Amino acid sequence: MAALTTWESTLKERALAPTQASGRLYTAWLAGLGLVVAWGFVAYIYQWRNGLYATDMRDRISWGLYISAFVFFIGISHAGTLISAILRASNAGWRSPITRIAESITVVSLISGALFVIVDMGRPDRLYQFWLNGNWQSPLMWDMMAITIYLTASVVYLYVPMIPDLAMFRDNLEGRVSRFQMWLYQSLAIGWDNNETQRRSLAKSITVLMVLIIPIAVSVHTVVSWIFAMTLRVSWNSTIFGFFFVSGAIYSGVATLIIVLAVMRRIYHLEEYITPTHFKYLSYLLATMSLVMIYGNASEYITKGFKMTEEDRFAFEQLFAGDFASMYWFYFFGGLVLPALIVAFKPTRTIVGVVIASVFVDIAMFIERYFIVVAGLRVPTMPYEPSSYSPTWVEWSILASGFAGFMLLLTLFARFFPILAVWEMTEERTSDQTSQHDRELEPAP
Amino acid sequence: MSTCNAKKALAVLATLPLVLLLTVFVSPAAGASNIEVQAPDQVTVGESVTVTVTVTNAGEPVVGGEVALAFVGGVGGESGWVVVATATTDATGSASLEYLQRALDATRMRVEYFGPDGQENTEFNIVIVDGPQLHQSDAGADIPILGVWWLVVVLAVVWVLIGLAAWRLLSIPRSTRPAARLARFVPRLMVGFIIFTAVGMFVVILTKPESHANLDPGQEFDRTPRALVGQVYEYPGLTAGDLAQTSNELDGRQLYVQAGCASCHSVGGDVGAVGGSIVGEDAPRSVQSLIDEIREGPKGMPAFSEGTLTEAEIEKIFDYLQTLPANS
Amino acid sequence: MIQPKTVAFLGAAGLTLALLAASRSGPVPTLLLGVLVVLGAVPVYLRRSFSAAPVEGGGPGDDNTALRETPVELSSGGSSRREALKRLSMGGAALAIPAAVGAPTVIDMWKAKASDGPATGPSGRTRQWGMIIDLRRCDGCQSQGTAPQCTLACIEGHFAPEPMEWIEAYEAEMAGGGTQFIPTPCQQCQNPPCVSVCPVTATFSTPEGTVLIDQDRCIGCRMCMAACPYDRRFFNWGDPPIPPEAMLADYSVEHQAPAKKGTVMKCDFCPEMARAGTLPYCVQACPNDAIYYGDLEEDIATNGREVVAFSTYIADNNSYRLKEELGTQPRVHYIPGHGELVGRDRFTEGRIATRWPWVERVKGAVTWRR
Repeated sequence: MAALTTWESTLKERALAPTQASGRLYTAWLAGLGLVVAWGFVAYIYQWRNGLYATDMRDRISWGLYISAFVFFIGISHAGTLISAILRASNAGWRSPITRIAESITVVSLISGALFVIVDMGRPDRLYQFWLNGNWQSPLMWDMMAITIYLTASVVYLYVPMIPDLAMFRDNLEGRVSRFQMWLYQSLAIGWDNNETQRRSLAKSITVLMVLIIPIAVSVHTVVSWIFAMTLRVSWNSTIFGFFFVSGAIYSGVATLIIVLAVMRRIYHLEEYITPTHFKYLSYLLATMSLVMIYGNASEYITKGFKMTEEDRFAFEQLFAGDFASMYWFYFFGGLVLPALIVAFKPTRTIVGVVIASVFVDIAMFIERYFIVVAGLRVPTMPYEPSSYSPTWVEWSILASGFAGFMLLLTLFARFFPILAVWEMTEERTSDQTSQHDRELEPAP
Repeated sequence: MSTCNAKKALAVLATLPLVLLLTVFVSPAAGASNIEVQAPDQVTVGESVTVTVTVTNAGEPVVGGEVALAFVGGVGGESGWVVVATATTDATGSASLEYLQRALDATRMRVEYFGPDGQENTEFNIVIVDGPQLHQSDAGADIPILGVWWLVVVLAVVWVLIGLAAWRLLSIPRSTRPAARLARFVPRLMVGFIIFTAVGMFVVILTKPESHANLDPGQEFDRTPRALVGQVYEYPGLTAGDLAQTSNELDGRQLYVQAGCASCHSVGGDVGAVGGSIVGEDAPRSVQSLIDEIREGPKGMPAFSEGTLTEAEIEKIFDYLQTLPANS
Repeated sequence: MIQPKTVAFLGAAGLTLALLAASRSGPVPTLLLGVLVVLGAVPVYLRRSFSAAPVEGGGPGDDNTALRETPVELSSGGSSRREALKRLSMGGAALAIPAAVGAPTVIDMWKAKASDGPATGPSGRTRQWGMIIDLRRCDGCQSQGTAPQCTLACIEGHFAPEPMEWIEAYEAEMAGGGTQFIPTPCQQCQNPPCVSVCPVTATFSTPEGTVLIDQDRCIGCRMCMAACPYDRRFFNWGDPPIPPEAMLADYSVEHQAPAKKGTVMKCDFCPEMARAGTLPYCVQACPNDAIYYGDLEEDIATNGREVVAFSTYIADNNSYRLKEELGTQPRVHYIPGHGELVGRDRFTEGRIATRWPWVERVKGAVTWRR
């Protein structure tokens, strides 16, 4: 029992530490991200004044970097919620230290992704039209609905299991943080004092959410793929798109989760809780998804390539041998094959190795989104010369700002909220060591 | 040589009777082919009509003669004879021409017979009664069990579950020992937000504006040009009847649009774009003042030269403008 | 009249209020949530008021007449549209005052906008516009030494911004060698992919079978451009390059001038021209009379020279439609050819590039490539 108490108090200290984070490097990191975000705002103001003329999208390639970023961010949002919900539902004990970080990635990337839709709009001032004259027949409207539901559900799903930890913050941080922060914890902890009624309510709430969030997450990315697949463009006109996008989303989501975990582990000294085992398990998931993706590519391109309509021929030539060839082959070998190989061999299956694989995966998946959007639109629909697209500084700036904003929000989340599910980890440990009593309280699927 | 000439003379002699024969039979009888038409007096739009034609020539039925049925149709300011059916006469010299009555103003009809001596026509009139819409667009597939209600049901289930999860939280602050007043706000806000968003979503789904109005022509339709506000706008077109009696006003109406006046001054001439209203009080005082204005192009209006609009044409436009009501 | 949406809305609002009452909260959150709920109601009432308009007194037929009378009332009140706009701009207060007070509200403007039924023929049946393009007579205006004149006329008539060619003559390779010109306006699909994907119903099919865009509603998401299989939609990427006089034109969904930044535009099939009793700009301008415009309902079409029966003409000349296999059901029919009837040799390639005639452009206008 004594060992447990020491263990628990160390854990608490580790969980509380990020709220006290300081130092020159930390400030520089925040300031740097803030600057990039601010620069993105400047670029956006420029775009607002000049219209989408500021970008290099034109009539024949009418979507570009923004929509790619949108799809990418919605993709990595699968990191969290889906993974944490699946692991929670399957009662995998090792999940507890990583669920919170995973869930926060979901919320933050959903916000970033949804903003890119607005950035891409020609008339953002008419956003209210979605609400006034919304057309549920449109895949874009399905997307709005799916993302709204997903964002709401994942905010709730992030918040509900966090309540006991917020209460822990509220009880332990008096005097160590600002009064505003204390006020925040007091309101958000909603009077949690860990009694029987409260624990039962919490458990029920979590059970409902974790079952619900899995179909929601799958539907969101399926619907994102339908923005493309519901058109008659030849490279998008495919039944495999939903499956392809969802597996791509999980793939890039797991990769992002690995990177964020590695960084947070290092910065906030969580080595004791986020162990090489976690990386090992996640890397298995990564390798599995890479094989699924390779299969998806084969299935998509071989069926189309065998029949080879005129437009398919154009699409294939530009993808495999033309303007997009370097991107595609990097994606295929660097983003799909290489990570699987890194995970396959024991000497490279280290934390560093897995993180490197994940970086490759994320870059490759962004490139994949890019060539799905741009190369798909480039295939001529009528007899005209294929157009070209090279993003302008405005687009690059806003993209950079999107990534910086993603990282900034994550950093701020870690600064203000508990990044470790302390109560779950404690319960896990307790149930491992002692009574059956606590196990009954643990949310069962 | 001589034999050759003799042959030629023979040939000429031989053809003479033939030529004579033709002259006797064809030329005086050219208009004399008798075309008898049996047509219904009254036809409803959408009805299948059979017009029976009997062609006789000097009492003999014409076998294998080409006949056609045409009416005077008008659209977009043009009118002319439109052939709707063709047939070949049988052994009794009669043929039946079948067509589907679609146009309402096709009262003036004729049967055309393409005889050996060119086209012969017999005109007649029919009375046409209005009928139902004939052309319907269709799109997509109508699958009986599929509908928006499935979407509503699925979304309702999802929102109810999210709401229930949040609802659970409401009891947490209640069971805390020192009742935390501040703490009650967050779960309530959450539940309130969820209800608000869910309701908003259903409102959006259920109030979807009509976008495929083509599938139901003739329906009430809530989208119209603002330039036409204030006018009850029947489709006038120009029917065949109108076109028969061309006037300055009608020509003026076409010219008004063709020359691009309507682009700026609107079709009604009243809502004013470049030079504002040009009807009623603002209408040009005289033909000459209109000509001057058009040639000069005052207040940013482009000038139109003689090559674009002649004075005669401007006069027609002037006449047309006089017929437009002010502030219509 | 009680509609399902009203029931759903009132039910949910009641639920919220009941919840609030049950949870015995303080006044501030109650008020806050009340405001949220009221905001949620706004679209219901806005939509109801401009789609259904006066409903008392009867059946759908009556509805229609009521709708048709609305604008008359507006103008018989003695205020022209301009004045109405002026009054509107006098202040936000005017927006909240119901129509009874006299000043038209935004809702009234919408009602007025919702005035018109579809164009009906003399019979009361709805016109169904259609087009036939006879490629045997199209030489891309090579013989004229100009850019395709349909394009030029369309640009002038609609103040189309550079580089939009709402009707564009594509030069396509032919199977046996040589090229053909295919003047391509918006195909006015009857199963339009673009209309189905528009998230805000800014683009819509009319009862007359045409597809229009409301540039006052378009949010510029460009989903319709991705969906269009004919490359017939154009976006105003920047301030559109149009002549100054176009800025003063009175915008309507059927006559899309002036162009608006950040919105999509396309061929509108010129229904306002047909109403005025004349033909679309492209039909009028074609020097070879290759373009026929007409009405499928009355089965009649004309190129400005001759009048033909629509169905007979396309059947007799083996017409086809572009990408017919996609099931979009276009209203534009093509008669195969490569300009042979006007003496074009199919190996004479190249058309003269279109130039926009605007001498002067509005301030701040930019042009862009396609």
